[in-house]
Amino acid sequence: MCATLLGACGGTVEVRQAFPPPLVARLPLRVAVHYPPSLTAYVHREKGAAQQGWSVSVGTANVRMFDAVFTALFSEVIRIGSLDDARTLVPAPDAIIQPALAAYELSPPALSATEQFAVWLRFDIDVLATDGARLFSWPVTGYGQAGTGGMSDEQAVERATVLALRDAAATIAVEFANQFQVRRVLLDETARDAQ
Amino acid sequence: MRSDRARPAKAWRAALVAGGAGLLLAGCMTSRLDESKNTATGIAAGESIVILARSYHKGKAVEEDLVSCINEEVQSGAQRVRVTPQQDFIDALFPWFEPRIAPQSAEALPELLARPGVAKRIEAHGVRYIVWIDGRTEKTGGGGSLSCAIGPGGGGCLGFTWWEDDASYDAAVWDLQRRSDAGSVSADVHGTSMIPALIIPLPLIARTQSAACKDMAGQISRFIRDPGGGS
Repeated sequence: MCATLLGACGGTVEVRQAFPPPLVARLPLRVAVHYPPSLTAYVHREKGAAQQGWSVSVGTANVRMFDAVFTALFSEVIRIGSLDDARTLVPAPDAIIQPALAAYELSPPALSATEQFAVWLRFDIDVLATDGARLFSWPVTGYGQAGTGGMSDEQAVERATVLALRDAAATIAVEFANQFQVRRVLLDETARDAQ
Repeated sequence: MRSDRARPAKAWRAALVAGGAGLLLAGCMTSRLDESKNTATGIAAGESIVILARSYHKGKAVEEDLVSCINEEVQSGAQRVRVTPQQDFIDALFPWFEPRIAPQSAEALPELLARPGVAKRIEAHGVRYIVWIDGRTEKTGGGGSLSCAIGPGGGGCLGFTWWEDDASYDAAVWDLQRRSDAGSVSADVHGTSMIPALIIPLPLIARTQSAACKDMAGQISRFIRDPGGGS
């Protein structure tokens, strides 16, 4: 109601929902995963004439989402505190993955002229060799929308954010193995190592 | 490319114009229900259906409360059908029923069911049919004017205002056992609401979405339970 009449009154949201593990074929890859602080502590803040005081904490939800996807997608996942930690792993991982949340946009009903809050986000997922060289960077977008009917503005923003994260998670789970560099570099190398 | 889509060997289309116009503090409403059946249906004990909203990636979103209403209505009454909660189903099959990835037609079912673990997970939930709800309730017109005033001696309203709503929904029913499109049902409800006021306003509200929910739920239950046809 507030969002509809006044163009969003704002609020504080912490995304708490869990993410289901994807039902996909596991890739024979041992990966090290580094979550930078910019991902784990990400808070979207927005203040302006039309949107006042929205604060959306997405950091822990990012981690839960990526943990759910990577654990289902790879045969072994090792979480590391820094990129340098990957060099000490024995045996060396097949790759290092470092996701970053590059953009988060929130559109309240008054701006989108709908009855829905909409969230759009973009992750940049860097896939690195164990020496730190970048194999490729993969932009993954997510979109979610949720109506205000029957829920508060904060609940609608959380729901839209969760749907956007699930959208991104679905893309990663389904499309990671189809990335050219994954097929040609990571999976082929793994096959050679196994021989 | 091979298509598993069932041909409507005995396709039939029943059109019901329920001239159920009621003007008992409920505005005027007319309903039109349609059904198209491609294959025989039926549901065994232990089997269930799941009712899902069509993806908002395709355009306007179906109202969440309408989908919830149909879920509840289908599970009530003499023709009730067991329903698997939609979020449980979507989570169990994640990511295959996320808006961006969900199959767009029944022709995609064989490929989906061939994916690792998918058929087994659906079987574990006992889901026989997927029902996809699409549509919206929209205001299509209106007019008139009504004004109210209040003063030291009291208050009152004078005037007449009205508006029209169209609730138009359809449901595609996919048979997971046959891996085919079993058919579809639809409901179009047109309602006119009005508020005449001579000192006291008298709202005559047409609850078009609620009527569409009940119509759709009844149609879906009959479609699935009746092997040869619906209403």
